Amino acid sequence: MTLYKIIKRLKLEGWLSKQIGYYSEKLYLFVNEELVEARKSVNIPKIIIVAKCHYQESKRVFPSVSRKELDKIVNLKKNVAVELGIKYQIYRNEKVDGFDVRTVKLNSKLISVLGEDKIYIPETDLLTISSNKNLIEVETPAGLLFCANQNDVVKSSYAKGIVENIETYKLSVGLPSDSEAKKVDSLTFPKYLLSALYSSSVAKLTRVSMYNVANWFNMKHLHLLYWGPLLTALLVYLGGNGYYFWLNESVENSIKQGELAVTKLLSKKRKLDSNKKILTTYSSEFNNQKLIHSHWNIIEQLLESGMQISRILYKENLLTIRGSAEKASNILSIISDYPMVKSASFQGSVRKSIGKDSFVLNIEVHDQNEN
Amino acid sequence: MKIKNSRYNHYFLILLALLLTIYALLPLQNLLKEQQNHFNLITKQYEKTDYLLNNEEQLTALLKGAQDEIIKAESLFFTFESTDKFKLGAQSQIENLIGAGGCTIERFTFKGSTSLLAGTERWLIEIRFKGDINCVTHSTRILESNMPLVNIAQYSFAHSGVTKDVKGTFNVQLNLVIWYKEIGA
Repeated sequence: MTLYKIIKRLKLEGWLSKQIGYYSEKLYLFVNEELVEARKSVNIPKIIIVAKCHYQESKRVFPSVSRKELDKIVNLKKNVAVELGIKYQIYRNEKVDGFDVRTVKLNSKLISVLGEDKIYIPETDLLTISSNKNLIEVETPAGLLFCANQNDVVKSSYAKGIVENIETYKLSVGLPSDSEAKKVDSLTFPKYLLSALYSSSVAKLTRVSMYNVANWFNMKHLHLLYWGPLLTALLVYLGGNGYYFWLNESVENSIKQGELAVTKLLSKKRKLDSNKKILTTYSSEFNNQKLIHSHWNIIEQLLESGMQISRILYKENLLTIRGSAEKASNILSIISDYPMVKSASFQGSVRKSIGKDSFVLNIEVHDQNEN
Repeated sequence: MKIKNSRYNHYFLILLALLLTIYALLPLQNLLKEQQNHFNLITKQYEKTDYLLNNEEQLTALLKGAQDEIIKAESLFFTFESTDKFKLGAQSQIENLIGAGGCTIERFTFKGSTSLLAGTERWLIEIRFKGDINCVTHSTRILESNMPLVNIAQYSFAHSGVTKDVKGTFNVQLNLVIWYKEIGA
């Protein structure tokens, strides 16, 4: 994925163009695809494309060595040179059965001027990214620059000394004399540079740029990640405790003010609760009383119906009457229809004795409290 | 040495944060919860007392009503100074009531009591007597209309064979319930 696609998706074109600068003796900003010299008061952009005149390139061949061994050597060099501004690029060299290591080293003055928290991109690496041609001739603010890309190995030189024109440059880097160069003049240079940056893949940019993430922020500031919430929580709890302390005090004061009146009232309330309890007990005792004097009406009805009664028992709404009659079924029929009777039945069998029916009647009486 | 110091600075900051959490933040959190609970409790207490103060008249009226009802209900009790006096008084009163109807009392037994409230008891009585129909009907009517209250919980009437002319003698057993209240209770 190219840098441009990411920026477009995140709609950060405007923001990113302000974060890119070009350094060639002076700092330039990209304004409307033109290079404008930056004022001293302006913030230095985060991404700096560095002109060829501010870094040195060197190449060293490591013959008959494995990639693993070479990585170890390069890592050792990186560990020794702790400062920012050195980039090692490794290329396979079949001819020597080994590798070429291209070293790009920024001028230390440049880093001291612009700062260690920047991303530095050598311009020659950028120029050769977007061109279809292997050879480019560019008019830069620092002078005419020749740039060649041979099998991903970038070679470059300003037009000066013995390399005064493109033809000489071709010979110096071993390109055929009929190689065609892409020409970029000083007017289109800024646009070309930006389009090269935007069209680069992120992987490629990571490979060529020089940066140290540790310099981007103060490591101690990471502690703020938990100290911030911790102190916020502390303040919230302190504030909360203070607030509730004040609330409790004010409510307790209000309660104390009415304490005497409340004590009297509470005593009344307790008395009322006690009285209610007494009344509930009385109610459950006296309201369940069942009156039995009216049972004489039933007895009278039975006697009137011709029944001779020898025993009457009453317990829990059940009247048990023992006796005899001419016909027991008549007695049961009459008493069943009597209004005070809920239900009536014979207890056990009806026995015949001296021409009479002898029986025991069970009569369930209506509870007078039901009416 | 500088690198080591820098690393110890980080450790120190983390340790300090841990100590702050353990010895300040957590106790403060607990204290806040306690204060919130205490606030909820005293708020409820305040609301209750406020409600009571606003409804004092209603409360007084309710109390008076309840006291009146209790006084009214006390007429239902056999009220005496002691249990012994109650037993004597209740027996003589009930025997007088039954005897007034011409009944012959054979046995009067206090079967036991159940405590209801302090100084208030429910008593069970078993009474046996005999008499004619007038005696029996008079007894049930007079007992049920009596004040203090006498409740006939169970009864048994035995006869050699009563017919509609209702002649002859009834042997009666009544199981009564009465209520005793000690004076001053």
